[in-house]
Amino acid sequence: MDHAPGDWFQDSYALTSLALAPSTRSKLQRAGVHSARDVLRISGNSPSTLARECALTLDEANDALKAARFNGEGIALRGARSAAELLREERARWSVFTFCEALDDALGGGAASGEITELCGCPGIGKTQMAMQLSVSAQTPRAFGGLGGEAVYVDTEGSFTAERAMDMAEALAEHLGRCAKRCEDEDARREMEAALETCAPEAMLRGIHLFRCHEVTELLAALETLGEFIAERPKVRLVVIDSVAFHFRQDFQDMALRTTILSKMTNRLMSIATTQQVAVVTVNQVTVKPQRDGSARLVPALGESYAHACTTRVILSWENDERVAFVTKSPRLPQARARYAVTAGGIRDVRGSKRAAP
Amino acid sequence: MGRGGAEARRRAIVEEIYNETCANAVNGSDVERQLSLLEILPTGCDAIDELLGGGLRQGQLIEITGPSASGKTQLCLSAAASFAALDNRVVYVDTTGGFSATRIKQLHRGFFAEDAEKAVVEEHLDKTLNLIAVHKCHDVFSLLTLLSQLGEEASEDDNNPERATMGLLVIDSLSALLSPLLTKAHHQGYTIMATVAAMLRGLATTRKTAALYTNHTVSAGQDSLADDHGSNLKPALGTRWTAVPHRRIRLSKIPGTGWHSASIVYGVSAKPVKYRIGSNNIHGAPTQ
Repeated sequence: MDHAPGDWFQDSYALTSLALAPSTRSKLQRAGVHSARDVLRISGNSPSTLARECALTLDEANDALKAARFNGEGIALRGARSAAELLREERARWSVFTFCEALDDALGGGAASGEITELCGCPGIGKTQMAMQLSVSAQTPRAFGGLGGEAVYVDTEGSFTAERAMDMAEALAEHLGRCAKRCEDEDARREMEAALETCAPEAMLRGIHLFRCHEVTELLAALETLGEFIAERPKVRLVVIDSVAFHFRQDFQDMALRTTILSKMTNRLMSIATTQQVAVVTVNQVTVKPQRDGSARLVPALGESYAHACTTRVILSWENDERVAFVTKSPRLPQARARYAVTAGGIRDVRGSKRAAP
Repeated sequence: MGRGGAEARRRAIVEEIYNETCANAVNGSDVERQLSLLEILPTGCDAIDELLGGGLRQGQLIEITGPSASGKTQLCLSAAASFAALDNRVVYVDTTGGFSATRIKQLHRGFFAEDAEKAVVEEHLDKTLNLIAVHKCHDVFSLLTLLSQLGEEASEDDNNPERATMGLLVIDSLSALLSPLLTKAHHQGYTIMATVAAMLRGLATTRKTAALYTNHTVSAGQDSLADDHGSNLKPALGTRWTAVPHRRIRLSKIPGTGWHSASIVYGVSAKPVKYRIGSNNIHGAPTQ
């Protein structure tokens, strides 16, 4: 008998694990049915056959079939996917690029969908710039290899500035215009030019949905409704929280309560990231941590327990007057560093640091 | 009916209960025989296997604790890849989005020699990946449902010789689901935690599966005594959880070296080991 990949978990629903009326179940058992698969096989998907074979009424047979078909999936291995399936899915995953090639390489393409990527760093290092850049570049049209998406920007600090986003959008539009001109393939160029008309800088700003949250309750409320908000706008590809740390660092007296709320919030974000297949980018601040020897060093804020929350953590810092991003935590990427620059047009590579084309 | 009849009935019932319960009692040699049937399977990391005396033992609960980026998820992925590569079914409960099939693929490649034939590796990889079932779980109640159903599934599954049995259950991370419930204000969280503990231990025994889960660390506060590792971190699930696993492994980064260290902090102990996370494997220091 040949098995399709992933078959093994479908045959394993015992009859007892299906939500059936006891009378129906015992009739099925008397007819020698043991599992959900037996039900499907005997019936050949026809309730009347099942009713005849197992001495059920037609209604009971209908219920049993429904349970075997749908409820079965809702039982033991609900939503279980084989790793093979996930590998295919991971290959099809997209990322929102940062526009800094070195950093994109270090991140395996950018901020990946289905993950939480955290950016942390000291004030002025460019966390918000990076977040805004991501919201703009998520809208790069498909004709240019982008996502043609929209972004949700949850702003807790009030640091989102439309002028700055406009700068970045204009720079992006200009860059895309140049790309279109340089393109040699006739068809592709026509497509790009058509796409260019839809991505005027103003249109890009319209594609950023801003939530301004003044306190932690508002933030939690926004996240609670975010799932529905995104479901209504299927073009959303990116959710930015800038920053997670702001309210949590000042609004709480009770640290245990803070930890609880933070981890609930993270679970919520994670489920948004995986169920809606969007990239979630959170911004975190840094704090000074005294060391045993009396010195101090900068560590990401919100403490040790929160450190486990993100999938990928990127630490932004200064190194000899240059901005450097370190990928310090990721289940799939090696640790890496990349230099980046904040320019008038947004986040870019450091001039001269581009690697030679392979 | 007289008093005598009622008394006889009572005795009959007691006798029946006695027969039923005592049939389940086993003696020491039975226990030993059953133990010898259990296998010890490798985690895919030589250093950790050495630490555990060969690998993960079926029927046991192994906890991995450690700060972020210390390699907890990597060890889970490695064990999953290793078990599946040896024809065991793996149920992987992912609560933090850390599961990466790409990484499984890399680790799987590491099990083969450099010059292994590509087609052979690919075919085996396909089989391996199909044996790993991944659940995304974002709250504790769906975890409880899953655990109880994995237990129920046992009866039908284990008697089927055609099917690979569940060899490993991974929960990464368990503490991410449980710690939000553990507040001083409510006792319910502790009740749920105790239920999870009982179910995990029960499941490991009845399914004869190894169970591996992670427990992240939290700061133990400024004034608490630092441990011998010079950090003031403690596992998130707290002292009440300490006795749940058969063994608790603590992972930590050795600063500035790229090496990590692993030691057993609860259960049968062994000498700490060092390991390193490579591009397609997790390996210990080469023996001199």
